[in-house]
Amino acid sequence: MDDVYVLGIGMTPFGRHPDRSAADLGSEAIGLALKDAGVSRKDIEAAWVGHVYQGMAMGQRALYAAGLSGLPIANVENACSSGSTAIWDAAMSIRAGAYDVVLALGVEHLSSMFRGALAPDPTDIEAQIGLTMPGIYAMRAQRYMLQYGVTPSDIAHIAVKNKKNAAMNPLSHFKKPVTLEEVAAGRLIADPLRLHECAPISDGAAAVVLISRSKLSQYGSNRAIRLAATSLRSGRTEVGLVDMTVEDLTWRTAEAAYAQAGIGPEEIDFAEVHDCFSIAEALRVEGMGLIPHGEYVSRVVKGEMDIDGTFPVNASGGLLGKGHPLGATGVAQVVELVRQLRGDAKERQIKSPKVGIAHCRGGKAQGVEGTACTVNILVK
Amino acid sequence: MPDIESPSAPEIMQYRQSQGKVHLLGSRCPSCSAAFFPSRTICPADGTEGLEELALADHGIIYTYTVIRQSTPEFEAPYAMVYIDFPQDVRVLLPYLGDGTPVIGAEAEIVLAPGPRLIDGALVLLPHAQSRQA
Ligand SMILES: [Zn+2]
Repeated sequence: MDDVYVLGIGMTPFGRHPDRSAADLGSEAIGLALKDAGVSRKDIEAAWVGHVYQGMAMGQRALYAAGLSGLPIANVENACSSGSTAIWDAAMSIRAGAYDVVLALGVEHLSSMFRGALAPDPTDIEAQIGLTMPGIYAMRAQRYMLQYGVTPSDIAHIAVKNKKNAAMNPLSHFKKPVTLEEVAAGRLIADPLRLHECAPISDGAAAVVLISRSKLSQYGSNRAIRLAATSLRSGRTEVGLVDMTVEDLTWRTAEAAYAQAGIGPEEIDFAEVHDCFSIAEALRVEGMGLIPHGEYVSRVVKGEMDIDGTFPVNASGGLLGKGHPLGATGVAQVVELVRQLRGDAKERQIKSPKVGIAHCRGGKAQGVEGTACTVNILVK
Repeated sequence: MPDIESPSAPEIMQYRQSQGKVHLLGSRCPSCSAAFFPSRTICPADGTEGLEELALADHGIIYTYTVIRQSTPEFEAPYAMVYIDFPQDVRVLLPYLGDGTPVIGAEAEIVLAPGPRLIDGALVLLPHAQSRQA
């Protein structure tokens, strides 16, 4: 089985792009990734494209706009993990020996599709009686506060941290830090979560070029970063009265990635995790076994997860700050890991990291905690 | 009082009314005893087919809650929602009826009430959780 490397990365600015199409954004990300990888269009043997609300054959439209046609192209929908599932598919094709140079793209023009709160699929009973995505996480936050003795203000520190990081990322949706007071003054979306604690509706695209170890030498890149693990899992149907502050799906996905990489949680230097809501960041980092259950929020308050802290989380700004164009999110996380591991993250550079982890999960379906989850581990 | 089957929105939530009490209708696996709401035909825990109907108690304990202040156009916000833990070892999401904040750990009974769902502009009758008066 051949090892997989990330050879090139590309990402558009995240935010509102009323004057651009999803295909146009996807094309820009592809162009940037090819240039960064130093490969030409004809080198790309196959492509996987993750998106959620972009309709039929979005992948083909984006690749055609970027001047690629005729190659195998597969469209991937897996809720908020669509882009990272495209990476999983692309990496599997290299491991299987089918291809050596492939593309994974995530793209979403969400602002033209959605207003207000995202909700589970309308056919689910939860959605039919009024549950929204903020509502799910708000209910988990209530349990977290009760079980671990933290306050809404403690949880709000996660939003403050991520928006501070986002202000140092030129591709972020939000460019302005917020204070704890500003978060507390934001309107309630679902108690206790307020406006700044919910990821925005963003448009954007991100792409990576993956390459096999055997072909790597031909491209002479010393900027390639090894994709040591890529895992994908789905939620198990919940049976009985489970603890809603513990993410079984996140743990099973991370556990598979640790086994693949031969790397334990204690060896990870930094993380990009799926902070669709402030509390979600705590549930993910604890869920992956990186911090003991119930400790994350108080350690954020102490500054441990800042860029210069002991375990930086969401240096990119995360979903809360950088933005959350659903299909693009999981790819953008890997883009950030590569930038950090190359030492190219400028103002928000973490001090000499060696191992990074990206966690992306999404969706709520009837009777499961989450629908899809991916974990990628990158090693310098 | 005769039993009334889901008078208003049965396609959303299955329940039975009996002697003034509201019982949600789920299912139980005859092989591993796992309970589910809404009902299922195949047990996701062990693959057993042909699950049995299970009428949940008319009361349970509030596991967690929120007040949803921003929703989609099909709902009249704000409204509170709770997860109720039933004695049958199954947790069900329900809208919450009543003023004031739901209290985690408090006992709640299941009642029929309009809202928060709108169909053709009108609130529909749905099972709600309501805190038990001491
Ligand atoms: Zn069973």
